[in-house]
Amino acid sequence: MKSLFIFLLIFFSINYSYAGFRYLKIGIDGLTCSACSRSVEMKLRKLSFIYSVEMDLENTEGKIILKESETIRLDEICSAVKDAGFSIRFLKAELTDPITTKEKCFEIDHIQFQLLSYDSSKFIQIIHPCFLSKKEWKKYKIIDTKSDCFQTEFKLYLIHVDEI
Amino acid sequence: MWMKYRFILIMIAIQFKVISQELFPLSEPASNVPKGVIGLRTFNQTYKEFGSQKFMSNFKVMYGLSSRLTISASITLSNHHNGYLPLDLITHTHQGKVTNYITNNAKKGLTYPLNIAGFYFYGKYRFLSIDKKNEHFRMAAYGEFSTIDQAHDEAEASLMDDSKGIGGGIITTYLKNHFATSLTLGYNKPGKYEEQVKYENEPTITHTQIQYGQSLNYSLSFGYLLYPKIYKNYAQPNLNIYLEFVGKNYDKATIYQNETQLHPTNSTLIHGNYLEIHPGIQTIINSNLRIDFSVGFNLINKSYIHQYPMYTFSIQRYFYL
Repeated sequence: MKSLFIFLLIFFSINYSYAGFRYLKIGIDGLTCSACSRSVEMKLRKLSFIYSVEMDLENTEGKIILKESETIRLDEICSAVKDAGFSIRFLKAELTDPITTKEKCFEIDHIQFQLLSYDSSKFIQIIHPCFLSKKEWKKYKIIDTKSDCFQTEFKLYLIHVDEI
Repeated sequence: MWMKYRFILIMIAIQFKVISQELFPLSEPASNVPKGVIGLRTFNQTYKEFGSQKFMSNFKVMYGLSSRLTISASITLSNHHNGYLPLDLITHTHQGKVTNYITNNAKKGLTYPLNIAGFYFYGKYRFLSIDKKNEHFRMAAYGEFSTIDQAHDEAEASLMDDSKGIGGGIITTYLKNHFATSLTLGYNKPGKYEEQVKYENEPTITHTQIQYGQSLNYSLSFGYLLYPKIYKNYAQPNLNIYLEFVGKNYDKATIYQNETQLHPTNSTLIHGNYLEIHPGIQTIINSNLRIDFSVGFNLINKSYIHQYPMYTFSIQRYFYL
């Protein structure tokens, strides 16, 4: 029994690493006034898994602190910003731990991602048409439509970034 | 003239590197109320018409039905009109069996009681949105509908103020290098006002119809932020200044009395066009409570349905449910 436990521990430590979101950083396009920025913040704050939002009005960026106990729904962040009438320029995150796996499919806080780059950085950017400008999204040319990472239509990809 | 103003505004915008504002006191921008958000707005205008101070107040409820579609319903109160046309708007003489009708000039400067003019509905759909950092280009189509049916004796119609009817148009709001501008092009098709009056010296009821002139409406608005120069938090009060040009080209009124078409030549009843300038100032408290004040003057020709200077004052707030 003890040896099985050690085996499982080694097995999982080789193939998987565990990481959660420490916080998210979101860039909003189209914002031109503090009242507009406030609308975005109010929409985000309505989401059950968001603890707080701190908007940087000058740079039109926001730091999103998540609640630990709630299920995180990134598609709801996409809808909230769109509903306020604006677009997302980027969605980045600092993770609690770096991703160490070389596996293509990776889960963070129960959200499935497909890794597009491998690095030991704790900073990631989420790649999805809703979380990038049209121009930026075109750069990725993701054609892996048959990826087995996803069970839903909301397919999220990840790249590592140096900082956020 | 406005080329000169535009140049001045562009120069000021470049100087201050301001974040632009598109919450124009008079014109609607192409942007919408956020989805699921309710907005309340009171829009008030006043001017002195010779010896009488005229008021118009519109109380509006707005709702963001989707991120792209905003609808609003409002009620208008005004003391602009009496409940019926001036008794001597149309006079006539008899020559044997022939009746000759004459239209007289509009009555101005009379004092009327404040009354509920009617309801005004507005919907706006944003169909194009190109967003960049601190920049956007947006286009929206709008439609308007009014049940307001006031007895007024001018060719020009205003759907929010005095005439029932429908309208629609396109709004283009563009922001680049911290400078915002918005262009609205619209069309109004007002309905007709009808009344039946039994005059003391007439054996039969007099039936009068006025079909007000359809119109092309346009506005060009500029706005920028004076304070704060750098945004730090939502509590900073915003101070914005605006310059709006509002114009209209309207058709003549068509008048029928007892099935006879009249051909008025009075300046208030024939076709016309005008261009106004409305400098304005606005403060936004807690990034939500919006207070606007502007004053309008005529630049080219003039409107016959209001006088100058015309003061506009409005307050607006969003409620995030």
